[in-house]
Amino acid sequence: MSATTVAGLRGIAVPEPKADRMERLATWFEAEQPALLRFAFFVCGDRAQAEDLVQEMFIRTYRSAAHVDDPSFRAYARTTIVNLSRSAWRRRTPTIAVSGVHIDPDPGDRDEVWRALLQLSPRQRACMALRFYDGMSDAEIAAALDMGQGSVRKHTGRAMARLREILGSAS
Amino acid sequence: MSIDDDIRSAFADHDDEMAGRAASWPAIESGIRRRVRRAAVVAPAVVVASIALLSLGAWNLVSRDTFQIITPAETSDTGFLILRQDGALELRDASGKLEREVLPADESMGYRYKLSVSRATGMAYFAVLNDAEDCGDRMFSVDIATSELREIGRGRAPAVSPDGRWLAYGSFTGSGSSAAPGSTCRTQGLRIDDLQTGQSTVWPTGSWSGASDPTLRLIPSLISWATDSEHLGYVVAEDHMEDQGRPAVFMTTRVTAGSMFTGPVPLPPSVRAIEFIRMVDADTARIVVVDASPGRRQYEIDPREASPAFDIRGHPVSGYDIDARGRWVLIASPNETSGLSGRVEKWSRERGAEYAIDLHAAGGSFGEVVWYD
Repeated sequence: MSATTVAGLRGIAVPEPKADRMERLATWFEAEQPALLRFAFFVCGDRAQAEDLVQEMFIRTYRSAAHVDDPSFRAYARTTIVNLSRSAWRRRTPTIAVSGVHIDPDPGDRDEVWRALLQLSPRQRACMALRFYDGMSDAEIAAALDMGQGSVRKHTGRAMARLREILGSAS
Repeated sequence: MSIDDDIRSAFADHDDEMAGRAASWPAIESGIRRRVRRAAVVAPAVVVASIALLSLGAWNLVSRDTFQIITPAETSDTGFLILRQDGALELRDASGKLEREVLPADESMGYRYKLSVSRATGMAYFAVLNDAEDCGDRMFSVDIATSELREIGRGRAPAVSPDGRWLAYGSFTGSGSSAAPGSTCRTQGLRIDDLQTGQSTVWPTGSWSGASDPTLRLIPSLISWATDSEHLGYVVAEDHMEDQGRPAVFMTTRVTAGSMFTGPVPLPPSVRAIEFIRMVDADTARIVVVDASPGRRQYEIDPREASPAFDIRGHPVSGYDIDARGRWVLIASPNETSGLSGRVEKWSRERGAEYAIDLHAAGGSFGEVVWYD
């Protein structure tokens, strides 16, 4: 770990991020940012939160940035985004249905299926995005999210059941 | 248009929502810098604080199970025990190769069933069926290393805890068959013997509403311990009781003798009969239930949130066990066509049967199977 001293703390080493690691991460950031932002948006459904998720993901993955060229690093990044989104999702303000009145999370968006997708958990949305947007198979999704194929099938199956339930009750 | 097409369109309609937006690299750099500096201060502080607390005796570190991380490409190297249909008990290595016959077949002794093993003490337990009497089943222990066989009492479905100290089983008193005139046979419920001190606890189970004698208790017929040797699950009213209603799975602890949850574990509606149960771990309170109904589905259930998992694809199943780390499953399948051989498969719980081993028995079918280190 490189270190510098700062005014007022003379003689005390202040650790700094490794320059080569930062450089590699910055290069990867330029190349992967658009796809990761889109993925984060699909997972959380909010533009500002998607930016926050990607920023926080890069901060969290710094320690592993030496492996940024490893093919599995992209899976690690995606998994981190999903996990961060799950933490935020658990802290979310619950939607309350009053007397059967549906409260629209985004009144400007009239896409029924999209709204239904937003009611899924982040991990379910991640599986759905990779399957239906990126066209991945169960095995590819499992690799992309660093989980077992059984888990992928479980999350996808539950997501489809939930979507049918939501869309069925809406129609 | 199918729902699949609708979902594709929904994502495609929103894929340009982030166009023109960007995460801030300076903010990322600043965040990383803060994190690196904080780690340099916090980590040593935690170590110092921990040492201080330990030296003051403010807390005690209790031992915990260590869970080895197994990468997807790696298979378990654990051996296993097989109770064959003819009663022979075999020790096999991870590849399925026979290492030793622990007990020879002895059909005159009666049908051996419900194999359970303590990896900690090297003892295996099983019951011997007495068809003539409900209260006649006997239980035995066998030292796997020396093959020493010992009768330990009467009961059904013995299950020894992973630490080797506790023996749980369905117990009864008296003799005879419960429905026969003059019988003194009475089911007590779930009994737990402390193998160290000899003390016993009996927890009453529910009553059998269809019985002529309402004091008869439903006998726990399938029992499984969690890895902590404290929590356990059991089944009453398994397949033979199907006409009395659906089977019921309960989870409890030997410490408080009370149910962990109000009422039985919620089962998927399709489950009419249960072949096996296995506790996965105590922390998450999950249990695996293998449905004996046609189709033989396997469910992994969290009592707080019913969550069906993968199925076992219609295999006939006679034995089933999950390893101590909860990652690998052994399934013994009798060959119902020829009756001459059976199969043992090793499954990954996460990925299904990708790593199944095929093992055929010569001159006898496999019955039950358990992991054994």
